Amino acid sequence: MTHIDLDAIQRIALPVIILLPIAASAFVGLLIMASSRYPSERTATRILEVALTISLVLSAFIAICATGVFGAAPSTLVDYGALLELGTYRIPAVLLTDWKGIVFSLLCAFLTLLVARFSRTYMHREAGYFRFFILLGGFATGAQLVALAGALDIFFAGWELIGIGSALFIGFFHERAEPVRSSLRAFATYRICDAGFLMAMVCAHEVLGSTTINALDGSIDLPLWESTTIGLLFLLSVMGKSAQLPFSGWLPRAMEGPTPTSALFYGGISLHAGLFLMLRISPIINASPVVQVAGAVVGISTAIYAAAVARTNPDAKGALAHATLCQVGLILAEISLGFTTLALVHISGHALLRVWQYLRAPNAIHDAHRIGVHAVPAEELQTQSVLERRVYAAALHRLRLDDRIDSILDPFMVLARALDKFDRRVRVLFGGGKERDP
Amino acid sequence: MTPESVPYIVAALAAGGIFAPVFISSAPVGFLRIILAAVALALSIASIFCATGTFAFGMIAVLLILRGLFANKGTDLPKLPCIVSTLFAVAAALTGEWPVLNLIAAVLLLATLSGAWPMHWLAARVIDRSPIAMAEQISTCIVAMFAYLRFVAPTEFAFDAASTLVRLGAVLALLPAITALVQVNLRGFYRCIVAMHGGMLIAAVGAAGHGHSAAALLVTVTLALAMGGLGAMVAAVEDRCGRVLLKEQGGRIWGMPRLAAAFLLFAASGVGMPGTAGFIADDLLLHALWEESVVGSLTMIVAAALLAVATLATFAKIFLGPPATSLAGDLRRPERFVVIATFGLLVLIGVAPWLLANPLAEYLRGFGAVPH
Amino acid sequence: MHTSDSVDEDAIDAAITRAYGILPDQGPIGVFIHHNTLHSYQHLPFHRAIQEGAARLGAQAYMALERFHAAWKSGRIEEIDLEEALDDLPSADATLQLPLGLSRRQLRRALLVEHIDDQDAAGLLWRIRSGPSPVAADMPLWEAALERVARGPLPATKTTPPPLRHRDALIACGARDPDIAVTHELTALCSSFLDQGQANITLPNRSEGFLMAVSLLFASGASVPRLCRGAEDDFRRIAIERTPAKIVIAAALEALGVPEDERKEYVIATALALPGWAGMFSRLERNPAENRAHCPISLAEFIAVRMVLDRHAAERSACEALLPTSWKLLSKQIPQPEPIATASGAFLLWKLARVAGARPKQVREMNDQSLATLWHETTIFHNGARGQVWLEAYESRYRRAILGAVASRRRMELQTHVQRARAQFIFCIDEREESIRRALEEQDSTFVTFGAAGFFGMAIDYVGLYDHKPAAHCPVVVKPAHEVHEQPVFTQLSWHERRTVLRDHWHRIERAAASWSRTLTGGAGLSLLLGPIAGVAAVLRVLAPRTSLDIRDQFQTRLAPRPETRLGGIRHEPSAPLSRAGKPMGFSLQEATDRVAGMLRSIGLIGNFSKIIVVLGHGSTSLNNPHESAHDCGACGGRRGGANARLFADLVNRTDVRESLRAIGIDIPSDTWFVGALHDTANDSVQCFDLEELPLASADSFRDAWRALEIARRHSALERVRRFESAPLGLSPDDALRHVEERAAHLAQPRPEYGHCTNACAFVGRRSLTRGLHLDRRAFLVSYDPTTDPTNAILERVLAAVGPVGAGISLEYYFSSVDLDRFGCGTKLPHNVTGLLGVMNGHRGDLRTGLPLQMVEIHEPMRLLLVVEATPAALLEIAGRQAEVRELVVNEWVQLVSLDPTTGRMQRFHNGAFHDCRIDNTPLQSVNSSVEWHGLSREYVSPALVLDGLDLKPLAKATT
Repeated sequence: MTHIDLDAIQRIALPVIILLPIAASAFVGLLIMASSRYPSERTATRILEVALTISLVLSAFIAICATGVFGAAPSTLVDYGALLELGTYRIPAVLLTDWKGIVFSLLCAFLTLLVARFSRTYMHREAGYFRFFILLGGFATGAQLVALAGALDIFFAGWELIGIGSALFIGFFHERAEPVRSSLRAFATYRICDAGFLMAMVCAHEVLGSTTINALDGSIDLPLWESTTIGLLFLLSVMGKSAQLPFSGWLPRAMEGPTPTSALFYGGISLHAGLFLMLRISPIINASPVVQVAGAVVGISTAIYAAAVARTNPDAKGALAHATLCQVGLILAEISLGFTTLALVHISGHALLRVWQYLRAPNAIHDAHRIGVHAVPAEELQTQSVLERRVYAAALHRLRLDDRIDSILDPFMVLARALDKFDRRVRVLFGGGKERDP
Repeated sequence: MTPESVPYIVAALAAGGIFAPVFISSAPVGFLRIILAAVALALSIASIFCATGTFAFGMIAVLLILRGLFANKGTDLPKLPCIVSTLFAVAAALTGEWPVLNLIAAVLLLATLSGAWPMHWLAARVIDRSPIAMAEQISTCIVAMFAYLRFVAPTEFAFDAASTLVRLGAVLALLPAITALVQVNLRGFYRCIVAMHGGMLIAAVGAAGHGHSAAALLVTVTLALAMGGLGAMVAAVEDRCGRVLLKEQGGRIWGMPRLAAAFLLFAASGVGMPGTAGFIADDLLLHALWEESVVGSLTMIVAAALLAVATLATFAKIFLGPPATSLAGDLRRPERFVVIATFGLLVLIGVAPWLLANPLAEYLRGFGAVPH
Repeated sequence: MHTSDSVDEDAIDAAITRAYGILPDQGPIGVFIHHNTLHSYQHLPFHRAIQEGAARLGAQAYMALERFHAAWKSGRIEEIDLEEALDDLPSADATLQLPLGLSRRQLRRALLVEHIDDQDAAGLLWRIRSGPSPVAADMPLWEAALERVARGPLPATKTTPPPLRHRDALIACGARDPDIAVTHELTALCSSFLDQGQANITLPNRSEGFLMAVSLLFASGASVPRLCRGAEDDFRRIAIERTPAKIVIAAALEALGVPEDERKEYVIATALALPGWAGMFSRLERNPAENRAHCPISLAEFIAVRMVLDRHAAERSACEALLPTSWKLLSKQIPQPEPIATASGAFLLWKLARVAGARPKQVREMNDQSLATLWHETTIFHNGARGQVWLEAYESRYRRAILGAVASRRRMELQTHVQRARAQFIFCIDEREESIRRALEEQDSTFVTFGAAGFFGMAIDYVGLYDHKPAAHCPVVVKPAHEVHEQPVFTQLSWHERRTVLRDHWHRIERAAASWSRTLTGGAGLSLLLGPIAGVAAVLRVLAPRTSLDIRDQFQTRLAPRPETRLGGIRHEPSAPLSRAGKPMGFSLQEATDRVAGMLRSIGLIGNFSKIIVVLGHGSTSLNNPHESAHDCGACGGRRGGANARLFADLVNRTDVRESLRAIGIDIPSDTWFVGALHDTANDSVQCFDLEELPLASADSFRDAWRALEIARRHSALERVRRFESAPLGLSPDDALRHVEERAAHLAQPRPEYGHCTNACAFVGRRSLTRGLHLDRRAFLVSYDPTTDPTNAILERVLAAVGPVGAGISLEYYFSSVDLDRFGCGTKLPHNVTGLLGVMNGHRGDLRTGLPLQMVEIHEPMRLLLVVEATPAALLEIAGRQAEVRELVVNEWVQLVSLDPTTGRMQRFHNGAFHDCRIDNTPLQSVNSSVEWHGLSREYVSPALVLDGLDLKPLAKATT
């Protein structure tokens, strides 16, 4: 076997894996924007599927290379210099192809392509068909960025893309008000929690001197309060993305989206992306027992909560969402306690299982007939115990998380209104506020 | 990219900012408008290539006077904001010898142009009149900021004033971001989102004093292109649908999907969508802010998050919902190309910020800027 | 809480009784039965009924005017149809002269075809500014109109329906929508209360009824939604005092300040606020057999819970917006709607002036009086009336074409069978079987097909080999008196027992896996164990749906083949044990003979039996489709008709039955053999039953018939797939079959088949009347021979069964496609199966009833055109006796056309009497084969004569 420069190949392959899907999306978007007619469904889907297939093939290729069958495995750190370098400040363009990254990248590429193939038939003739595939391309890039990023800035770009994609898919059927409300709630949760990520990132840059993920290894030498702060800030962001308590309220609402995207996001990638962030920042977690305990507590309590909700939830997708959340909480605890390899295996198996279950969720009636669910009636809670009823109600009402958050936000909205009123007074005082009709 | 190319890049961006609104506004592309835009571009280029602050700000003053003269006719601009900003520009041109006054005049000029609080009452007058006029006004920010970076930022006083300006900017960004959540009409939202970016601009002006000139310029470019583009889209929506209230869902996306997409893209790049200039600008600004004030950067993060939520909520109210029947059509051909070009610039800077940022530092060093 | 006023309760009782009628009457989705969505309005004339009913439900009664308009533009509606429909509109004085020299009729026609109302002013002005200007044709006139309208008066604003509940008024006043919180809460409570087995744990104490269960829950300290705060006290009191539902409702009404005389309407409106869930309560309350959860269900309790929540949410919302809570005060606060913009009015005037040919000066000088008259005329010709005219015209166009085709066909000589038929096939009347019947007949003129209601006279409760309980396989109006069980043959009894045990084990494992995977530890274990398998399964099922399903089935058949079975169709001893439900198991000889004879007589098959007769029931199999059962056989009560076909064949093959038949004059030759079969309309497969019993002597004939069926199902598939956009046009028959097989096996396929989507008409008469006509899968074909039915007794039976079933299907499709959101259930894609009862959108919301977009998207909503080969007198006589038929016919819920068996005269029942109806007299197009006609078209095709398989080839050639 002649010598192949695996490093060089990998250097070229990685940006393709990441950028090709969004480039395909942009191309389709451009086609639509530039011409007054839409392309055929077939054309648009072809373009996206080819991009996603190439992405998957290359991702698999990188994985094979990493096993060392073609000779020595290429280096796990691929440095493209800097996206921006100004004095001490740089946005490093670094990709990381360690096993965690490769497995997650492969998982993302596989599931996205699977869902794209599924949706070609599923979304046929639906208003929003093109929107669906364009967003899917954007999401694929986001997921690959998260999987392969070697620096927090790049990771964050992917993280945001996943968040935007998730919100827009929840609001996909926007002719009804409920999906839009749910979409806003999910997006707001993401954005607020992502403040944690941003602060942690800037903070890490200041104390570690770099935003590369490898630099996080240095956090072991940090003073405890610094690693704890950074870790907790990251944890906040994870809690938003992975719908951990008390931010779990948006997850059942996310079931408003089309089933394949529910599968991809909330059975597959998006919920697990939070866990992947935990894997990436594990040096910080290891450096701070406080973060470890906090992560474990959040994870376990979410798992218990979600398991209870899943048992009482009578709708197919809602039950599945909480079943997924339950495992996500469990994995969060696993990572917090340091079982990262187990967590990675757990993530992969779990994502595959849930995607499959989601894709078959509309089959519930057919299955019920087939396996005779009716023959075994559900157990009725015949209880006089107040406690049992309360526990049941807490699960049924999902702890009224949304309501509680709303109550916290109420005073804030009052403030906003007062500020706006004041502002209007000031403007009128200076002779503004007289709008001319368009 | 060599440092020499920086003025050309800036000129290109300014041209984008100036011409984009012309093709989107409701009135047909008239001769006068084109001439005015061409003259504005010429003056902007002159300002960009001027070797002294007096001339650079002078050219801007001339530009603003010209706009004021043709107010109501060629442009939709009202007179008062033009007069006030001209005064600040003239002041900035004449006070080159007194760094304190010079800085104040330049900052006020930028604040007026970008509609930052508390100068937003002037911007509000412009927006009340027509959002497209605001888009045109914002385009001048790039030139003004470039002049600031070359002639004002390198001074000793700018260095001293930096941390104050940064804190101020952060607060000025937060306030409109909060009010954006409760707006009842589209123009109110546009006023808030522009004012929030104005606040970011003030913070960036401060950061520039400490050498974060790239952050400052990127923030300005985002403001000019994304907010300018958004202004144009706001105008396009109003053109088709009349006054837009944010009371219930409008369902306009069914009739004008491309317009909705363009609206969302500009708004999203304004609030830092990855892959656009806004993302890099936010990132850079945050780092710059962190050095000055941790609370400042925290404030900015919260402001950006709130604004993002308000943006999606506004988008949902205008465009989403049960289909609304309307005779008005989607974006017309010239409008679509303007959108593609403007957004293309935003993406280009977003994925390849080094094209602008790296040579900029080198270029500014020639003006005595402190290297970061 | 103690206002047990009897007046109150009367109002509430009346309201609930009315609500039973209005609420959707759809049972759990596992058995989907098509019915008239507005069944409770059936006592009224069609147009009035649907306009009233739609208004009540806030829905559209007709297709959107834009769709009619598009149909007009495309030529689907022709001038003559519109004229006729306009003439038909019962309104005073169509010739009335209006200002500008318009006649009322001209104005109405203009309003219909010009499509000029409801234009938004901003969009209009934008179009005028940025071109192409819609008024460019006459600018001076436009300016005149603009100027005139600016002086007033303006057209009347659209009337908005008056507020019915607090919520409507609150929203109109700009307050927060109180229903959002209430809907969320009720959805959670209802779905766990009604859950038929999806959740592991259901609502505690649900056996005490909804109101008590909910009250107990909140009385235990469960928190109420933030926006309904205060409701917990009410619930606690209800739990303690065990207040009956009606008193709770009365108290809430009192608290909301609803005056006595408005209470009835208020309660109805409250029930209708969440029609899906309320409808399920109402349905299950009145049909407790459909409820598999053991809980007492009452609509009143649902309304009571809703009222308690509603009251507090409304109070809170009103309080926030500084509005009064009392209904009397609140309903006065509603702001006036904004006036119509000048530009919109001017555009309307401009168009009318153009139609009238008026000059700008004339327009400018119109006085206020005449302008007001014009506006008034446009207002009284409201959308309902416009829809009515359009629909009549839309139907007329189709009616003309199809009746014209039948008339032409009838003029050709009727085919009489002198020689013995090569094979005979009895299908269900279902319009989906039209194509396969035609495909069979095209192969040979001596292949004969019949159409009979798909339960083939076998009204039974059927228990399949692995069914858990009996299911009624007959039209819903019939209550079966017999039970029939499928049983393994004796030699396989032991295998059956073993297989049953294995099967039960396997299902237990499947059920357990599904529920384990939701638990904490089980989920973890299963992820690790099953994750990779799930990944592989997903890839296979998505990439190769057909093959992977085939492989799985083959594997299953190899591993554990299904035992051979027989139906226990005959009960020899009258004293044989009854079934668990207390019904006799199987028919006695006499009963069997009666049923078989009735069936054979009804289709006119009482002589000339061929050697092989295949009886095909139908059903449909698809995956990931909660509406799967809606594709099954309507005549079998939403189930598959295979068992009925099998039973019929089984009985009629018995020598004792044949002997009895012979005694009553039906002589079936001894070499005739019946084969029961099941046609799957989703993948076009045909499965024959009990072939083990086929006599060797009949083997050749059967092989021959089977070969014909093999060809026919391919051609039928080919004809079907042209309607699917995802199938390329011009496939070969084999590819078409593969395509439909893949469709049915595909997990991602929201349109496994289009179902009854194409239904439009029904023929009750001899097949020879329609044989050879390409009816494009749009016609229910009921075989009925008037020559053998002098007393009309058979016809009466046929109409009593076919009329309601056909009308039910047609009307369900009609309503679901005219208003997909209110009558239908919207797009299928966000549907989420809830409590095994139905589907809801997303995570919390109403149960969606009706049909989804994917089932109705190509439907042309029309009333069923029922053509019966009988004299008007006979039809009137039958309608006089059969109440349901009378209602449908007299109120014109179906368009009944009488085709005189002897003269061929066609008369339509309209406005209370039979009138001659207009038919197309253009000569019928003739083609050699069906595929030549529908060939490469994705649209509906007009009727044509298909010459293949007709004996009158030379004749037809000569006539066309």
